[in-house]
Amino acid sequence: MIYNLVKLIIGGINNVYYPLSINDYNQAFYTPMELSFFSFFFYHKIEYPSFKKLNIAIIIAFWIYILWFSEESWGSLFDSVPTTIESIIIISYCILFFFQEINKPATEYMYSKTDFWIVSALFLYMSGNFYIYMYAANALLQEEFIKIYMIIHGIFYSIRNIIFTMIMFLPQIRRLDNIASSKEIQM
Amino acid sequence: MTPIIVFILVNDVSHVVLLGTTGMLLLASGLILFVIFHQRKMIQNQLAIRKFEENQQRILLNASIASQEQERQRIAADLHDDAGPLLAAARLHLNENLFSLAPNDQRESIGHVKEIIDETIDLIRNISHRLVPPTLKNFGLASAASDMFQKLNTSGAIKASCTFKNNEKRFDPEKEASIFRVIQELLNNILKHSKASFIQLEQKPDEGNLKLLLRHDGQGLTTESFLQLAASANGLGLKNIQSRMKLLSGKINFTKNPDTHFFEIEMDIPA
Repeated sequence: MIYNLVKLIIGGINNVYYPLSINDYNQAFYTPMELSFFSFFFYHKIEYPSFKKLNIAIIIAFWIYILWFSEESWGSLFDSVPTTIESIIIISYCILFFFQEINKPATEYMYSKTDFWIVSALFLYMSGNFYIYMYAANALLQEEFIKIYMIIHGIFYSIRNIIFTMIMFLPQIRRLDNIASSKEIQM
Repeated sequence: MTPIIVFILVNDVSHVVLLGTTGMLLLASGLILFVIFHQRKMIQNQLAIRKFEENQQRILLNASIASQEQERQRIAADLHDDAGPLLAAARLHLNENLFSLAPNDQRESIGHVKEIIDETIDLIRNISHRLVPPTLKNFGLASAASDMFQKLNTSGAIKASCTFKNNEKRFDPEKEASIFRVIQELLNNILKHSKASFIQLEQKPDEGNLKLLLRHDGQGLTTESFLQLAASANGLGLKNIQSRMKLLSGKINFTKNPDTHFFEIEMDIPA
């Protein structure tokens, strides 16, 4: 919810003042901020000790790269390289998270956990947008591509937000399930 | 020229993006579905294993209860059939002695009563010894096992030998009793079913655990057949062995030695 609110505010500001260009620190630093936010999430969810160190190192390296990149590509249409790197990093974290989960001795179904849905939503969003992010910097001037960009990004953005919204109701659904099952037992 | 190149470029990029996105989407959904189904399968397997273990526990518990019940019935039968009539006879003698016999005959009658009471004491001692052998209680597992094997040997039915490395070492009394019962049950089974001509019990050297090897030349069991028989409705004794070994956190292996063709039962019990 916090992530969506921040994204909405930053996205709103960018769309009003600087649509489709990196000509503002706000836009340039959005990608590393997003990566930092999700890395923080994965830092707490993935339990491998070596991962935690690697996670911090990746974040530091990414911020350093962004500082260099924003100077180099000031005024370019889209930060394709950072977003593609961000997608690869987050997709890798998602795969690592799934790997960790299937190796754990499970006591309850994975899809009854909030974390699983957050990671699945991110995984689908990043995988779906991976190619359009990769080509966006060079192809966003073409009208045909803009249409495809809007459609694909819109679809995955919606899917992700629908899943995030669903997650907010997941504990309530589980609570209702528990109440229903306890009533069945009482009967 | 330029519009054609732009058209091809746009078309190419769009195709690449569409194909790439579709591929990524398929891979991502495939992986998520794989994770879900794999975990479902794992949980179902775990539930099946848990159910099997619960079932085994129930079988062992039932076996233990049945064994206790058998033991109680045996003690009740011994007391009722043997001790009861003896004590009743003693009571009759005393009645006659006190009320109807002449003083000269009383001495003879008291002698009879004394004999009956001695017999009853012996009988009760035997029942008690069958419950807890005094050698086990006083001198430990090694002495009790040696005693049992010696008795078997002197019976002449089978050659029996028992070797313990350290006869003086004592374990927890409950543990000693359980190990003794396991050995006793194994011996009973060998005597009943194996048609063996010799039985040998040997303590194998091990610093931490108590390792025992029981060897015989008759027909025996392998671990697979032991587990099968223990899981069946009839294998009460084997179930008892299994539950006692579980309580002792020990391991028991039934094998046939490929060189000597003797059946071997190896027990490994934490000290």
